Amino acid sequence: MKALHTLVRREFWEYRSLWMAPVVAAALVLGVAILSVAGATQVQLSDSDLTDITTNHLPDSMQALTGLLLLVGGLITGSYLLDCLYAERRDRSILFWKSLPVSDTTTVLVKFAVAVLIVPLGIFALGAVTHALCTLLIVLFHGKLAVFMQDWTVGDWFVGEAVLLGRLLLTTLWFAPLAAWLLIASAFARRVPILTATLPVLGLVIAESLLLGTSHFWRAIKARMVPVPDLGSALADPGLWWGVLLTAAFLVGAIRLRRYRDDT
Amino acid sequence: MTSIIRATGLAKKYRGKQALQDVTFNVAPGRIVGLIGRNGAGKTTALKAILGLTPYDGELRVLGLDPATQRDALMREVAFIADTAVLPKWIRVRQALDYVEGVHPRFERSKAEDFLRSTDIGLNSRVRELSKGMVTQLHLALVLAIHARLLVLDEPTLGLDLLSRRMFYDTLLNDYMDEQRTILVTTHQVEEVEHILTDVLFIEQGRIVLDAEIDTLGERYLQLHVKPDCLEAARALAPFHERQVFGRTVMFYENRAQQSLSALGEVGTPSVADLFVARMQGEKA
Repeated sequence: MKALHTLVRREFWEYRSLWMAPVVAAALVLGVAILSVAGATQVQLSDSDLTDITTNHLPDSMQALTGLLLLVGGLITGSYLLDCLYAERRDRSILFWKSLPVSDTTTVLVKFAVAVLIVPLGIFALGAVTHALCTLLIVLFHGKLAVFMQDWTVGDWFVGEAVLLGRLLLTTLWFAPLAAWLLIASAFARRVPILTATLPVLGLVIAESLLLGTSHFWRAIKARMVPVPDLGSALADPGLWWGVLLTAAFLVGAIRLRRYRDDT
Repeated sequence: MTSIIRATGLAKKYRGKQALQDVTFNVAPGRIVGLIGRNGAGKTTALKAILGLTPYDGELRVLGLDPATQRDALMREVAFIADTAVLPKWIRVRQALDYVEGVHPRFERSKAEDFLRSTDIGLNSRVRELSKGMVTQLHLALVLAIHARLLVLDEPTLGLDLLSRRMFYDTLLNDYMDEQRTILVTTHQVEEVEHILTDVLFIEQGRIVLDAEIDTLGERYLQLHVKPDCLEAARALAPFHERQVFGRTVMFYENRAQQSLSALGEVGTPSVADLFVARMQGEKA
């Protein structure tokens, strides 16, 4: 347990953007919220306006905020995954990491978990806090806590966040094969991991269209790149579960690759 | 006595080249063994096999474990310094201590901190801000604080200035070595390690060409500063190497009685460095 904790901390030491970028994004959102609320003090919102905002717009805003943070997080974790098993070979520090009793399996799985579990959950928590602060700000400025509480209870807030969390976990599950693939590219790349990640895919797409005249592979990739539609249909989608199998296979591949990859 | 390292018929093909072939040797506990060879002779490949960093053919046991399949267990008992450039540049000294303490059950943090206090290294410095000599000291501080049974060093002082190299080996001898510990060190700078070694292994083109205890080298090998008028007689005794030093001829003999040579000049025990050169160059006309 202590070792796992250390391994996770290590990732955030090396890739500070994993926590800094979402925090900066959240701070920006909060800043904008403060400015707009302060600027709108002259405009007196009526009780009905406020009711409208809380019932219709708050859940959306909650989602929009977390969505924005997730977009930032997605970009950051993507580049993290591509770099993490490549950088240690480039600077030869892999020989240091491998001189310590941490298996390749643990190393790869920790990096994967950081990208698909720890950072997303952190972003979720950050989103929840930021959103609560924004809401509080509106309420405080307009002094209409009573109206607010009446139409939109704390219970609703928790339900809203819970739905969001479910969707978030599903989204990470949906993108897990991509994450594991990036790890393979990172472990395999001799020079530019992004090319190692994309060129084989491109090659397969071209080969399929030339040899078979079809584009199933490309369509499958495209379908993966758009986020899951909604909770119910996604769970029923066999594609999701095939993706989980593929993720497992990719992870095994990345572990094998790291086993005998060194600085040469 | 059990072996720390036992290699039998170790072999490895690397990019079509035979990097190791039929390498057989034993390392007993408490020894300081120098694996000495030229660049590309197979030293690093042998070490990588011992550390489970590369696949190999043949039989290999390190601390009774199979490095290929039991690497994780092995690394709890083995410490390893590749060379000074492998500590990650981004890490802070404090983080390096935290990390090793977190993942290594046999790391004694206070020992590393004590050692670091005797240096100019600050706990908040990043590795990229340290000089090469300081990075070595940091790496040494980390490794010395690990209670490992086997320490493997691969060209550990490469690129360091003389003072740092001296300090490295002195610290190793004074603060690390005891009868429970074993060190395997590779280097191509023989002069630098020969005074600390108990055993030498010469490796050339992937083969072990000499495996001896330092103490027995004198029984096996002799060097003769030949008197100018005895050259022919000395050659007749079949030296395996001959070279000129300050205008005098020095010849090297294996398994030759000292009495048979003493009439021909000044007899002595060759240094490991001289022996290495003699062995590598072989017979020279």
